[in-house]
Amino acid sequence: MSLLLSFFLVGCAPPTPPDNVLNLGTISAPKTFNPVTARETSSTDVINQMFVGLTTTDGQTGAVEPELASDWESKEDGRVWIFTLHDDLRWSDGEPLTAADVVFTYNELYLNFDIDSSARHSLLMDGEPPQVEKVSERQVKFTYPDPYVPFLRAASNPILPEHLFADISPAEFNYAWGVDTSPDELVVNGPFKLGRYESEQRVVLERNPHYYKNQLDDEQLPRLDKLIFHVVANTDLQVQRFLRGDLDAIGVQAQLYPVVRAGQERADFEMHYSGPDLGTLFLAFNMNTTPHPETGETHIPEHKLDWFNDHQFRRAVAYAIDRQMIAEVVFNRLASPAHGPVSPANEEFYYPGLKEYEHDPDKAREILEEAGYSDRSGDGIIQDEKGNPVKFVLLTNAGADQRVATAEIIRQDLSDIGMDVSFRQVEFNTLVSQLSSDFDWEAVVMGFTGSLEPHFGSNVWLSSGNLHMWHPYQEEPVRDWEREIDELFAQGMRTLEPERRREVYSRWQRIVNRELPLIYTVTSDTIHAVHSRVKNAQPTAIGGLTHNVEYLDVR
Amino acid sequence: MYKQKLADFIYLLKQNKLFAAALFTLVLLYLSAIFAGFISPYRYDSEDRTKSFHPPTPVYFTDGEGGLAWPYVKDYEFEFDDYHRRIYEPVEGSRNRLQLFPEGEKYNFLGLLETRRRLFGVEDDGKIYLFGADSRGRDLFSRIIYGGRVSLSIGLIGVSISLLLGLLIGGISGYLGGLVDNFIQRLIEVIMLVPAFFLLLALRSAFPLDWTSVRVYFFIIIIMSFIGWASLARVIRGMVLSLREKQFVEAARVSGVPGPVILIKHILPNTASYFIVAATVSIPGYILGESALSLLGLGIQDPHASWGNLLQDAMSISQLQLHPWVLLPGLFIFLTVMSFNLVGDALRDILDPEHEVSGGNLV
Repeated sequence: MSLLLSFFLVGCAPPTPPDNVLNLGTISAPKTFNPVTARETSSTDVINQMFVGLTTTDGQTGAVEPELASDWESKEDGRVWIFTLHDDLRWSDGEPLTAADVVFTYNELYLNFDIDSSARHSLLMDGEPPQVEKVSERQVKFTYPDPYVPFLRAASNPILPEHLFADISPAEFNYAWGVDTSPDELVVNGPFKLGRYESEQRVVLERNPHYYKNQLDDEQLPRLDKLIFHVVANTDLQVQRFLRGDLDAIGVQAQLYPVVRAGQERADFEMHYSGPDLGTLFLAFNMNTTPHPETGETHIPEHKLDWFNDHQFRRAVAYAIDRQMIAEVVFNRLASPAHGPVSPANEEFYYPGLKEYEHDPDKAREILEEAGYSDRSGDGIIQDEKGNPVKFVLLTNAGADQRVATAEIIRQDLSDIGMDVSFRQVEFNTLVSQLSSDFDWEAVVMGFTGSLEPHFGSNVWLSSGNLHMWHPYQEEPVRDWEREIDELFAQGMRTLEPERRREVYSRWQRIVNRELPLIYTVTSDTIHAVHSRVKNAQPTAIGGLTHNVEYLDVR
Repeated sequence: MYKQKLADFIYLLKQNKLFAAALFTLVLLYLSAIFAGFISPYRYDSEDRTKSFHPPTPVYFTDGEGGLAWPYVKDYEFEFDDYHRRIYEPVEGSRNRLQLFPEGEKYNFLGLLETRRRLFGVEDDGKIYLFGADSRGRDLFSRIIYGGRVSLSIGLIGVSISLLLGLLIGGISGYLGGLVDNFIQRLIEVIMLVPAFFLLLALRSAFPLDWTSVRVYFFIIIIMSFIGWASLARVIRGMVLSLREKQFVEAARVSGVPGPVILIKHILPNTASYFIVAATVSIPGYILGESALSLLGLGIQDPHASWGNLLQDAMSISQLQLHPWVLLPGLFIFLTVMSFNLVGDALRDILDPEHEVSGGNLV
């Protein structure tokens, strides 16, 4: 009896207000908490909740908005940018955040060629860094040799504390702030600071009391006490855990959409449609004719390079792919055919007049026939003029369901026009090293996360770029259209007037659409499912779920 | 003696209904695999993308007014509902009669002649999906039947190879004894030490990506039998050790029969009761090994089918919720493994009542 009673008493105690906690899922655990060296979204998704930069992108409109900088002005047609910081900014350890931190972060970290930073290419102009100087305690000046228009967006890179890193060597910095960093050492300026990291389980972020918006607004920001990223290694499981209520919000992949949607009968959540995704999904061929520096031979057999470099070959492939069926079979019709490098989600730069490659296997066969590919031996496989059967391996990374399913459809479509394609799934890291250092791949189905600023794709589109997948690191552009794209990008970053700038990047999209170095498949729709207990959620294609994280509220 | 065994066998079939059922299932499965082209209505890779995840088609035997009719199926078309699920509805008034021995897609009958005759099909442009369809509208029934060719044969071929190796090496080791025996036994220990499945994974990843499914298939068999012979050789060696001391061996040796002949003609046949049973119970190991490898995307690759890679679709809980029929290949694996174990048990009862035999399972 007494035992029962005591239980009863405990039950009767006045309830403490529940913590204001948002639970999100992440596919893999962060690899680092270092904002400068982080490369993969599993790390940056977490880091972006802890660090902010001078500017930010409005998640709704895509416009550049002030963040740590309250104000800025540009002089000399965009050669000089002067940012003014908010008053009384502080780091999470209470130290003041001043112009010195900004100058240090740019000069010693992002622009330091000994540090492994993936953001550097967006700050360099023709390979040259800007001059960064402190004007006063609250003012920083950036000077470029020429007008550099994309700079405002580039200035959103996280700022780091000088007082922690002033004496660190670049080699040490590359390994600083790994996932084993103690929460006290991770001094931040964003809405959240690190609470604890449970290896491969979850990252718990806590409110940063020194977050600058706390002082600006009359309310306490962020409203959440905690933001938790749970590592759930598979999208299927994420859906199940969301439906069970363990996660408060998820991004919904099209192939899982019916399951999530049907779950609405049992759980109280809302679906948010945000239109097309910023990212792209494409087929690429290896056109890398640069010989291996030691052996002097090309990385894949030369006759294969001849096909892949043959514009008519790529055109035939573009006609052979049944994009409508990819959208329907793989994406449950929650996607639309894509023909160019810019997603319609990027309203400012998307060029709607691109040529659409309708599914037309007869036309594809005709093009191949005219270009000298035909089935001379009668075994159902086409051969090139020298008699080599058109046979290659198509790769994509294992575990990416949508890419695998898309690649299987492409494989079938290409075998319908007489190509002998075998499809293989490869572990992601293996694939990355094949693409970026071994260059021994033949064809691949891959995706890029998009950006609103086309210039930030320069590591893909410049012939010297490291992600210029089909033929990276060219010293001089090998193909005429590559030279043309190089020139367009050089012109685009200097063009101040928006209308003319749009025209420059439209020309780039038309060239890509015509030359087909990447053969685009579909653009999927962005859909989020958010539990009704989460207030103020306005997920978008541009900003995802967390673009207004400081105003999210779970009560 | 063999007559007696056969009589025992038939008696056991009558007595042990489970054994009879298991044997019958296996015979049926192997026949269907051998005649896959004939039995399946479609090729393993013939797809109709407008019939993505077509549910299993019911076959109607009545004309709707209570009378009997020649069996027929209806056409189905889908629309996406609000949830973007594919809802398949029969097309009003459609009636595609089943046909026996229609002309379908071309295939190779037993590798002898090209033909289009298939066991059954549907008239006109109708489609029959007895077990439903996969994401690209490929008939799961046909794919399971074709997949059986890989999954069922891999066990038989694999076991034959490892049996041959096991018998020979084990026999030599036991018969010769001494240094040779010592060396072979240590070798066997080393091989048995290696975790089989990881070896399989490692070897697979070491080989080129552009291998065709057929090459991968033979490669899997070779690796698995290479791992499988060791445990078998060990027991055979033990049996040979005791057999070679027997009087009939002594007699053969005295009459000048050469060693290899004694081993092959007089000693090894006496281990038959063991190795037949051991072979039967180790076949499931090969089937499961191939399935696991293909399930992980490292074995037989799409568009070729094996029960393992067909099961890949069933790895997602969501797919299972929406299209439960993708789990059917699992049922076939289960049936086969179960049947082999039952048959193995029964065979042991007949051939070798005193011995307990455990199969070397790979996974």
